Amino acid sequence: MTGGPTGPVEADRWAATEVGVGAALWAWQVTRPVRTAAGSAAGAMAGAVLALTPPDVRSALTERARSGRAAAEELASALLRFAVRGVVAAVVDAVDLTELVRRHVDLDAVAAGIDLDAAVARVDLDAIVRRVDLDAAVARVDLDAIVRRIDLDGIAARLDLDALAARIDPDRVVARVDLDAVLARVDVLGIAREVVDGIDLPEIIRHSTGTLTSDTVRTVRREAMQADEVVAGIFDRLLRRHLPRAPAPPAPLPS
Amino acid sequence: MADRSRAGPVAGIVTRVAAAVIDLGVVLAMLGVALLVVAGLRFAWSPVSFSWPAPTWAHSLGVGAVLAALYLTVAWATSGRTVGAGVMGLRVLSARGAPLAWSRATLRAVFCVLFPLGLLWAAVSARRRSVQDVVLRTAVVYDWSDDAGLRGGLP
Repeated sequence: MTGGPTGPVEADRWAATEVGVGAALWAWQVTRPVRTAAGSAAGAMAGAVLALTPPDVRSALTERARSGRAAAEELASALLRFAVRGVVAAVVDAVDLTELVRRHVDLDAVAAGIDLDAAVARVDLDAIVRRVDLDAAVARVDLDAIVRRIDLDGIAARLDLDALAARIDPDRVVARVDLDAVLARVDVLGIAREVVDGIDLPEIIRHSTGTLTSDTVRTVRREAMQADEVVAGIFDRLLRRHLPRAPAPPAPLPS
Repeated sequence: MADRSRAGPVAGIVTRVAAAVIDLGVVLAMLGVALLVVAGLRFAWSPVSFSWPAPTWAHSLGVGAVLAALYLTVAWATSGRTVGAGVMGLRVLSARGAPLAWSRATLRAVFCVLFPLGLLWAAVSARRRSVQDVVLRTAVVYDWSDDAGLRGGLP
């Protein structure tokens, strides 16, 4: 963390701290000869004491020192752990790690360094797929709703049906049809019988022959009537008669 | 002038002769049927000595005349028209336009069979009446009605 004054009060405190540190360093340097002498004296004294101390006492003391040091190390380690935990928690609380990473870490470079292929190669996709219950997933899908959202008209409008039909070979389609089997299933005789039953043949014959007879007879009668008139005219002239002849055909008769 | 309420104009000679020819054919057919009936009776009576009947001309003429008289009588007294008259669209009525009674139909039939040439007078007569029509006061008129296959009456 880069230090530095951020306000006037902070600046004063910072200056005082620097002065204090400078003074302490100076004192440490100045007292060097004293410290050296004191150290030599202490060492000589300790050597004398060690020399005077009986060996069993010395070993007992050594043992005691070792155990005490182990306990101290343990205590220090526990304290350190506690302190570090607290510090880290405080740091994490105080610092926006995401923002920190974003500002100082080149994520692109990190990503470029990752071998995704190797990572993917290590993934057992088959095992993943085996664990997925596709049936259950499909059962939850509302196909009706999906189909409702599809614009079938739009799709149909985009299809070029003419081109599709042009690609169809009717000959091959027809060649695959078993017409004999189809005909075998059709009751042709029954259909023919039904058709014949539906036709009133006697009525048709009666009507057609009746019409024919009617037309023929009518023609014969008309011709005979005209012949009657001609013959009557001839006899009128022969007998020098002057009779009024009805030129118009006779009116229909009441029955 | 007689009442012609049921009648059309009086028919001319050509139509009436045509009807008479058709009726002659009908009578000849009846004569053939009569011959077959006689042959059948003879075969049923004596199959062993059966031979086809060989009537003389006089027999045939006599039987034909009787058959014709019966045929004409029944036809005129009932519908007023024979087969020939039906084909040609004719009807025989009294001079008043009424259907013939049995008596007059019988007399006219016998008269026609005995003197068929009397029909030709219809060509000469101004009112197109045959000898039988003049004597028995009848008339033959065009009548296309009462025909099952013919609709619309006369043209």
